[in-house]
Amino acid sequence: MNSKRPLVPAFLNKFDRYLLLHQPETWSARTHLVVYYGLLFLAVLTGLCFIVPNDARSDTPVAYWIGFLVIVDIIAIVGWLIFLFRFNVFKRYGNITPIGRLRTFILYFISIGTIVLFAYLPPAVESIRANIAYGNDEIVNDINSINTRICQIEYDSLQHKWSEDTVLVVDKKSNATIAYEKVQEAGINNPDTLMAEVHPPYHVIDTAELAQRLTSVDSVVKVNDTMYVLNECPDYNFLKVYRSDFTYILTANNHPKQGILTSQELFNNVIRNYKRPDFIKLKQEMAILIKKYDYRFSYNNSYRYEEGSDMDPEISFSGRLERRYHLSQTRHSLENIIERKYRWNARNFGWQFRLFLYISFILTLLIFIFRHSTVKTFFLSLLTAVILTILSSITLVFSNGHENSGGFAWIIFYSVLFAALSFTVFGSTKRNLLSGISINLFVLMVTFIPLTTVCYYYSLIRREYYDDIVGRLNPIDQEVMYRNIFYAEIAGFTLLLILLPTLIHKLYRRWYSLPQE
Amino acid sequence: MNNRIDEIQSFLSHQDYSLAVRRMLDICLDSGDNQLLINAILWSRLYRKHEKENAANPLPADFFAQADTLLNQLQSIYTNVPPQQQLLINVESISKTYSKGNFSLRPISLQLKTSEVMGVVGENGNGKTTLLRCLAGQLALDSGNIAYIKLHSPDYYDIKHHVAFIPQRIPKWYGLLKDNLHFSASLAGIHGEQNELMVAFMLERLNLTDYAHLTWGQISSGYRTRFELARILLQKPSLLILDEPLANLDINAQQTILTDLRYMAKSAYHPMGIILSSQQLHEVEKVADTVLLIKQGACLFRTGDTTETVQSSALELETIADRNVLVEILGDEKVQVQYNGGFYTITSTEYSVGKIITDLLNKDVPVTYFRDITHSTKRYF
Repeated sequence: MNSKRPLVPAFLNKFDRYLLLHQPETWSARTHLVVYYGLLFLAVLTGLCFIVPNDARSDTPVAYWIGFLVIVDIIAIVGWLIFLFRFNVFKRYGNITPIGRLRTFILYFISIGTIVLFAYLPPAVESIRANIAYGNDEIVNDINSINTRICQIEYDSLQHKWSEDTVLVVDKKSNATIAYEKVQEAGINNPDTLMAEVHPPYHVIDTAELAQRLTSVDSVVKVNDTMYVLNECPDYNFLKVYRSDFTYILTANNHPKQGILTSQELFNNVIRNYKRPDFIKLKQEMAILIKKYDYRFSYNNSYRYEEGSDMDPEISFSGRLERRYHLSQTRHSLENIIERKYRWNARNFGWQFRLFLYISFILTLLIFIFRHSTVKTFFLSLLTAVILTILSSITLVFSNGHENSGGFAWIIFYSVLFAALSFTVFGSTKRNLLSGISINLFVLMVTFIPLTTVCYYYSLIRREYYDDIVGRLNPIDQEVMYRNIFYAEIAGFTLLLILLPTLIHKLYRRWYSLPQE
Repeated sequence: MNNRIDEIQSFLSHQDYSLAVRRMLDICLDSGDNQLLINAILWSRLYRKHEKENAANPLPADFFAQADTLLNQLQSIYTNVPPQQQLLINVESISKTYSKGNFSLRPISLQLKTSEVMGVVGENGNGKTTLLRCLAGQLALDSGNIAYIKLHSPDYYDIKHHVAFIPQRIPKWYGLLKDNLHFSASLAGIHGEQNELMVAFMLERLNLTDYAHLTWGQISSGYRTRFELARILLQKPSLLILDEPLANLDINAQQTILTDLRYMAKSAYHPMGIILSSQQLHEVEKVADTVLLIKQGACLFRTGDTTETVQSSALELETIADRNVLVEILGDEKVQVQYNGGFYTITSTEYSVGKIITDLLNKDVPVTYFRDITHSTKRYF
């Protein structure tokens, strides 16, 4: 037993010994030690991340953390590989079982996953700290409070009148447009024209544009069946946060309780029935709110504007408000807080999890292949993959706009080709470099066959849709597409897990043990 | 009477303690009694400890008492039934030509049974390693067939699991030597306490216990060979193939390893066949049941093939006497005398080796060394 391992408790040494004497393949993977040391490192890292000063309002230093931890990850993986490569049951022709292949792969994945997880910890701790410091409702309430108070304080300077836009709606697909234009040209008394004179100026829009405009206007007055007056409230959202994560959270069903007040709501709350407030108290409250989000950024974050622009405080009211209430700085702080708080929301989690999954998975696959191949064959396989990628990319240059579908077609073609070449190993009497490379590349690609096929299908559909100039086809249903892609991913992983103890096990067993030339 | 037990008693009485300890370990392993084997290991450790710390003094009485106890226990349970020999490998006219290079191994046939040791000798570059690698399933054959009799419809993985090959240049081990041994035993399906016991046995048997906690870089090349042998033996191969295993060993170690290999091949616990190549002709011939001489890719001669050798006697001789003196004594027409710069090789179709050496000694020729090589592969070098 190796008693020189630092910080390893007695029970783990016993377990290590047990594995050595009973499960040599599991022992040689060293997953138990990787997980133990990984958890130990994660615990220390968590403590460190909580101790290190990290104001939620500041610009996040997480990129530096990730950069540092990627280096740690590389060192940890190399360290693990040094131990992993010491012992290889397969290459010693030891007793192996098909299920053993599957177990080995999973153990490698757990080891790699534990190490890759390091880089995810600082962002996670940062989020926890931001969530502890600032509640979900608190942020919304503060934004609403700031906007409300600005409206109250600046009431006399604000524009109170809503904008009006009179539109005449026509159905361009019917002859109504032509008929209308003829009427207009002829100067015939037309009820619409009369109404338009009542609500000048007006302009003509079609039904599609009306539908689109209706989603954004604050109020609509229907004059008659074809004429509408669209009203828009002046913008009272002086403090806006441009974070898509925040918008996503706000539109979620139950979180937070209250949303950001719209200009219309601010108008109704403050402007419509305005009561003159206690300005001294109001300004004190405003000062407290501004101070709450006042963070000294390392660079000059004072309000900046382009001279002569709409936001120039010398000529623009909005610019003056920005400078007076430190809105730019407050917005920046809020954006940083929101970025931290909502980093792990359901929308982001998907790609973050995929990033983790695919990095860990690809590394696991490479290590698995290396462990079942010769060094020469492994690196020649990588070289082949690179060369084929380059050659295939060159052919795509001539694909006349079919790059996506062409790329996916190449991948499918290579998968089938390598699968076919892999099978030649069963008829071979010598260990062949070509079949070895084919097996390696087939194993590397097999997981992605369902995903590539689905993507290929959608790339064809999309291409067909873009080529359809008469508008016969419907656009792709994005939700269905993403669902199918997700199913394809699941199918790919399932396929690999099925093939590992069956076909892949047999392929490698056969190929590696064959006599050489 | 039990021959092997008598042999141990004889070694003890003649103070060949090292031999006695090794044989005791072998016989205790063959007995299949784990407790007996543990006791034998402890007894061996007692001997090693004494040799290491107190070699000048006689062995303690406890050593002999324990030996008596072990022998008495063995008397009651051990039956000296030699393992039944089974055909292990049948090789029919295999040949091999490398695609790059001009060397060819010409058709060779051979058979090997369990408990047999086969030596392969020959000059460098004549095909010894090629033959061994073909037998180990490492090189593809151009023609011929190898049947591994004990395996039923084997694939090459099965073959390589059962056939162990120790190359001349042993690949580096990583990690602790002891861990490697436990790992190898575990690979062969020896788990738990049995694993511990077999590794302890093998370390003791090859006198490696004191080095088990070291790493590869901390031991000499001779010990590396022994550790590699221990590792391979723990994997319990049916056929053990060793390429120049004596290359890194001193004279004593060569003799020890060869006799150990012979005993291990005939082990009742795990009988196996052994094929080894070497330049040490005489040492190999002493332990091998059959010796093949490979020259320019063909099997030139194999021991036991008396039709080749009965034609003439052959003698290897070292003396300061001149060639003319030898010819004059023995008669120019009766013998052929060749000199290779170090030895004279004298062959004769009329005289026996005994007569030749007697005639030379009677004429006061100062003979410093001689060896009868009538039935040895050496005469073909």
